[in-house]
This record gives sequence, C-alpha cells and structure tokens, in this order.
Amino acid sequence: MVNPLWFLAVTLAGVGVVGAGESGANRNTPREALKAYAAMDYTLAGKLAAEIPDTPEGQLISGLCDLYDRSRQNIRRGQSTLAGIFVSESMPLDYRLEAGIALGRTAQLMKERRELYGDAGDRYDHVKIFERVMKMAPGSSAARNAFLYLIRERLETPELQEAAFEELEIFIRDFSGDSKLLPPVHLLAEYEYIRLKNDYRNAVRHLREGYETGFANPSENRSGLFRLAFLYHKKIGDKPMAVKYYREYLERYPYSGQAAVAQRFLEELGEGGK
Amino acid sequence: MSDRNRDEVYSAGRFQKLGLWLAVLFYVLSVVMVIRNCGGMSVVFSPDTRVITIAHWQLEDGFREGIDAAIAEYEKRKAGQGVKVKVRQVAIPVRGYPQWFLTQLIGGNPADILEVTGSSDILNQYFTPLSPYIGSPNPWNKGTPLEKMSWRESFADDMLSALDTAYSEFFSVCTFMHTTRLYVNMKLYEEATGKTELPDTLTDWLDACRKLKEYGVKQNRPIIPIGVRGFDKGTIGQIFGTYYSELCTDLSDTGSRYGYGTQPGELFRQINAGELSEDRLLEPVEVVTEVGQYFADGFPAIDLEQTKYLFFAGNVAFFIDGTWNAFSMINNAPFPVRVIQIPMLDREHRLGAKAFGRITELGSGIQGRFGIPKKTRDFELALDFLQFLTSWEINQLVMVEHCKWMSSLKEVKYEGVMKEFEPVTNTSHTAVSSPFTSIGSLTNRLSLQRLENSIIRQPEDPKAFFWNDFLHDREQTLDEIQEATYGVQRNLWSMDGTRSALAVGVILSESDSSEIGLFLQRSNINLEGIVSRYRAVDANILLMEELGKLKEYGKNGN
Repeated sequence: MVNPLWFLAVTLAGVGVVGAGESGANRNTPREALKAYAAMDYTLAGKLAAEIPDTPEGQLISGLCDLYDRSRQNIRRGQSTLAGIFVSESMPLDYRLEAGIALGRTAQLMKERRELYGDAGDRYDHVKIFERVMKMAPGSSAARNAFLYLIRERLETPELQEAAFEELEIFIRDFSGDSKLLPPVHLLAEYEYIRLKNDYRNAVRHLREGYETGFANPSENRSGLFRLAFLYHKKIGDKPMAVKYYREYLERYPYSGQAAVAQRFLEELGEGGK
Repeated sequence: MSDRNRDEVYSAGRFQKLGLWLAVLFYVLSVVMVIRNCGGMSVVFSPDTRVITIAHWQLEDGFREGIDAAIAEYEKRKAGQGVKVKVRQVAIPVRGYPQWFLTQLIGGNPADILEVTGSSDILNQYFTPLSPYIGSPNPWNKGTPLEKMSWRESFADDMLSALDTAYSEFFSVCTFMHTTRLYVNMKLYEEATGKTELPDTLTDWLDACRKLKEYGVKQNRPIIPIGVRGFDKGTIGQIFGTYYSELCTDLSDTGSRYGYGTQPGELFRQINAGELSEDRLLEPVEVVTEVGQYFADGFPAIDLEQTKYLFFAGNVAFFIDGTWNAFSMINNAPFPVRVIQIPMLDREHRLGAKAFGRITELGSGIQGRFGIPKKTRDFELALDFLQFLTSWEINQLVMVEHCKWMSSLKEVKYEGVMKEFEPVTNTSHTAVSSPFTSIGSLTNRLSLQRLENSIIRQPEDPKAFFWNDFLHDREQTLDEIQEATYGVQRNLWSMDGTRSALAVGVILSESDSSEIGLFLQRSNINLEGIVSRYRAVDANILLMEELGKLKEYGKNGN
C-alpha cells in the first residue's frame, strides 16, 4: 500500500515547481504584459498587468486595456490612470507619451460624438495634451500623431483654417525627426488643400513629397502615384510631370486596372505610352 | 437451476460477449481514427515527421485533387531536403465553415493553414501577421519568372486584396482569381438561332434571346433565354454593373474633385448644379429592363442551384456566373457548353453610341485567402507550405491544371477554354460604381429590387420609374449614410487601439531591429488609414447634403 505521506510530498513538490515557475514568470511580467498588448491580446495583457499593479508597465497596460479592450471597457478609469502616468515625471518618457496620446485622442473622439458620450470627453483638454506631447518629444512619432489629430480639428474650424494651413507647412518644414514619419501628414495636407481651398498646386506638392518619401500602405502608394499623374494632367496642366508619373505608374504597376487608363492618358498627351 | 434461468444466463453471456466484441471493435476504430488524424501510420511510427493541416471550404471539382497533388509534390521535395513532412487536407462545406472555423480557433487547436473568413477583429486575434515575410522573395519561386520579385510583388494585385486596412496588416495571402462569364448551351443556341457564332454585342445577344423565346413557343418547350440567380438578385447586379461601367466609365475623369474615380456625393452635386443630367446615371436601367424581358417568368424566386438545374436540363440558353463553376458546367452538362464574355453595348443599340466598350478586369477578382493561425503547431512549416502553394509552378498545378481556375499570381499564361476566363485587358476603361448600388448594402438591395420591379412591370419610362422610386426611399438611404458615418467614427476608436498597440511594440523593440521598422511601417499605414476615414466622413456629409436636394426626374439642375 502507498504511504499517504508520499502523496503529500509529491503534492508539495508539485506546488514548489509551480511556484518556482510562477516566480520566474513574474520576473518577466512587465515585458510579457507589454508584448501581449503589442500583439493586441488584451485578455492576457490585462491579466498580466493586474499582477503588477505598482509597476509603470502594469499601470500603462491596465489604463490602455480599459480604453481599447471592448470586452471590459472602462473609459473613465482608463483615462484617469493614463492621466496619472502622463503627468508623472518619474515615469519613463515613452510611457508618458503613449499615455498622453491615448488620453488626448480618446477625449477628442468622445467630444466628436457628443450624442453618445455627452460631456464626458470634456474632463480632459485634448488640445493641451497634444501640444504638451509635441513639446515633450519633438520629431517623434508621438509628436507626429498628436499634430495630425490636432491639425485636422483646426482645419475643420473656419476661423482657425488659414492659421492651420500655415501651421501645417511650418510643422513639416521644421520636423526634426525621421522624414519617413511624414507621408501621412502630406496625405492629409493634399486632401485638405483640395477640399478647403481648391488649391491643386499645393495639394500636388504635398502628394509628391509623400509619394517620393513612400506611403506605407501599398494601396495608398499605388493610388497616390496615379493621382499624382492625374492631378498634374487634368488639374494643373503640367504635361511633362504628368507624363513622368504616368510612365512611372506603367512601369511599377503594369498589372493594375488603371494601367490601361494611364496608357490612354499618355496617348491623349501625345506620348503614345512609350 | 431451472431451464428458464439457464436460458437467461446463456442469453446474458451472449450479450456480454457481444458487448466485449463491440468494445474491442470501438477500441480498434478509435486507434485507427487517432492514427489517421495524426497523419497516418508513417507518422505514428516515425515521430520525427512534422505534420500540418490545411483546411478550406472549396468543394468545387478539382480543388481538393489539386491540393492533394501539391501536397504530394511538397512531401517529395521536403524529403529531398531530408525533412519528413506530412500535410493533411480537410475540406468543410461552405455552409458550416464559418462555425467550424471559429470553433477551431477558439478551441485552440486549429488547422495550421486555414482559408480565411470573418471580421478583421477575428483575423487580428487569431492569425499570424505576415508582413515580416512578404517583403522577401518566395523561396519556392527560384528559377521561375517571379524569382526576383518579393512574395508580395509576385501576386497579380501586389497582395492588395489581402491587406486588412483596419489593422494595417496582411493576415492572409490570395490563391486564385475569378471573373464573371456567360455559359452558353450550344445545342439549344444552334437549334434556336441556326447560328454557331456566339453574340459579342448586346444587339446580337438580344436578337438571339428573341429567337430563343420564339423557338420555345414553337416547340412548346419552357425555354428560358437567360438563366439568372433571381433570388439573391446576383445576376441583375452583375448585368447592371457591367452596363453602368460601359456607359459611365468617363465619369471617372470628372466624378471626384480629388482624383480619378467617382464619388456619389459629387455626382449628385453636379446633377443639382445642372452640370450633369440624371439620365447619364439612369441609362443602364433601361438596358437592364430590356435584357430582363428574357429572364424566366417568376425569376425572382429562382436561386443559383435551381438555375444550374434548369441549365443542365437543357432549358436555359445563357447562364451568367463566376468562373468558379466553369469546370463543372462544362464537364457535367449533357451538351456542349461554351464560355463568352457578357456581350458589350454596341453602336447598333440605341444607347450604344454613348458606350465606351469593354471595361478592364485587370487586378480584380483575386480571392481565396489563406492564413496561419497563431496557435499553429509548426509555424515555420506552415509558412513554407503556404509559400509553396503560392509559388508560380505549384499554384498553376493546383488552380490551372486541376481546378481550371485562374491563378492569383503574375506571369501566368492560359490555354484553351481558360483563355475565355482571362481578365479583359484590351481596353483603356475601368469599372465605375453606380451611386445607386455603392452607398451601402440597404441602398444596394433597394436598387436591385427597383431594377427587378422595372423588369417585371416594364414601365414606359424605366429611368423616371427608377429615379422617382429612388427618391421615394431617400429617408432610408439617408439613415444608412448616417449609420455608415457612425461606423467610421467607431472605427476611428478601434484604429487608435491599433495605433496604441503598435506604439507599445515600438517601445519594446530594439532601436536597430527589423521589428521596429515593421512596427513603424504599420503605424504609418494606420495613420494613412485615418486620413482615408476623414475622407470617408467628409464624402458622406457631402452625399447627405446633395441627396437631400435632388428633385423628381426631369426637374433637376438649372
């Protein structure tokens, strides 16, 4: 017959092994929580963050999950946690920037949907938050995001429009970070110059800069190139530039549906597509 | 013991033995099933064999056989590399596939390569992002015309059909391509028209349909010139789309302030301003109403399977459908079948003078998305097999040779009947969407219903009938646009969630790693997507304004 003490010993050993494993996991939990969140596994990220509530990572991930995990969303608590991180100078800068952007953007989106959120978005001044993010890390992707969210809002406000276009140009001109971060801003600028001012020259200038730097979305890159040729051709009447970009389009995307149109337009311009 | 008791004991013993045999039988059966599910005896007795499973819903003729052929070739080539591999194929009927697919994913033990369906959220939650792999060449394309292209560039559409814009990520790759064609019962066609030459123009097609109708009356046979999927209005939508593009493709030059293409709001603005006549948008309604005379009586109640049955029974002359059914339509019909393009509007037709001819099909119809779940047992092998399946040689083996489907890849040549399936390329005009069918699903459904009514009632002026009925449903259309705008705004919140996850990914990555580059690229895709959402919201606002101003037929403009 098996001695009952053996059962006890084996059970205790098992607990020991599990405990050791857990303590090993704990050592990496902050990083694991960040990893799970980056993979958008909110369930795991939230669980891991709850195990380390006193760490910066635990607080950041908890706050972000409160905002973006739709299965257990708690916007008020999430924004409050992120506001705490954003204003705390003892927190790592990257965490503060992300907390600021998430807080500012969600407050802004809530204000845009007052029929749904009422005045709940007014608890935080997203304009001040975005401006502070831009000052904290000029040239960063966080600053670029903050600017894009902010400038669109200013362009939407008639009395701020002229100043906003100026601000847009200055931001791009003085941007100290990697120019590869700018194509989305150029894309917005192109669109707004046409929408609000019918200004095709400035629109095409921005589209060209964005395209030459490279849009990240392959679909945007393709349609952007065609648009560039088309706007030079039909709106500005710059034949050499239109021909240049139609040809480039044919070379890069010969299998796309619009290749046939590019060919037709080249013929229309007397270039015969060759 | 009495005789009766002895009999009972004997009988009970017999049942016990039967039970025992049944138990043994089920045990053996279970063992066989376990071995089969593990990949067969070769795997069980060879533990170093790596096993993966591919699952899909394509039960059409040739698909499973094609995948089997690819598997055999893959196992052979991997064995040549000294790697023992076993690939299993599972085919699930399409009706149950979405449930089975979700159960597999939630259960945590899915097939290693799955044909993808469902929302972006499901893909993001359960499938492996493929963006780190699509920038490098597909190793199985060595020695082929695609050798120097990246995996992404090797696809006819540069993988655009596989991009999930909500999450700025590629969770799958496409494996085949389809176009819409007209299948012709040659026996019936020749008997009725006395011709072997098939119609290339709308005038000839309508003439053939008239003769087919007369032939049916003369022969006292229920001949249906054009077989349609009336129940889901699929065919009406296809015909309307085709002729709308042929008549209105030029609107792409002027139909948007922002570039080539059309925006419904801008078209309605031009109508309200007297810059464009509503007739331009309504002429295709006339064509559909005219073609619809040759549909079956009671066509709205006929579904795809019934139409196929009627076609095989020899009562339908022309049947419009995608090329996915081509192989079975040609092989299973008891009469010769030919495949042609939908006849184009020609100069002899009263609306033909305004038409632009055929529309290019390049870059469209690419589908059959397969992805790799995060819970795969062997990601490396699954990715390798997916690349094998989408390599130039093997994709043609599966799709072209076995299925008679078109490949999703570049540089593929087709022969014989498949030449008829190839996308139209010898044209300089592109497809354009009608505002009546592109505003939203409800508006599309109402418009197709309106076309159906026009075919049934054959009104004196189909354009006025359609336009006024469209305005009659204006409130519902406005509601749908408003709801779509809310949808975009909800989507902006989700997109910020993606942005946030990518930002945390950047924080985690080493500053000079390739990982950080991918996170930054996806962040840019995300932000570019936000700009496109701004455009969508503005377009909806303009559309609502202009739609509200439209007047009854003939009263618009100055």
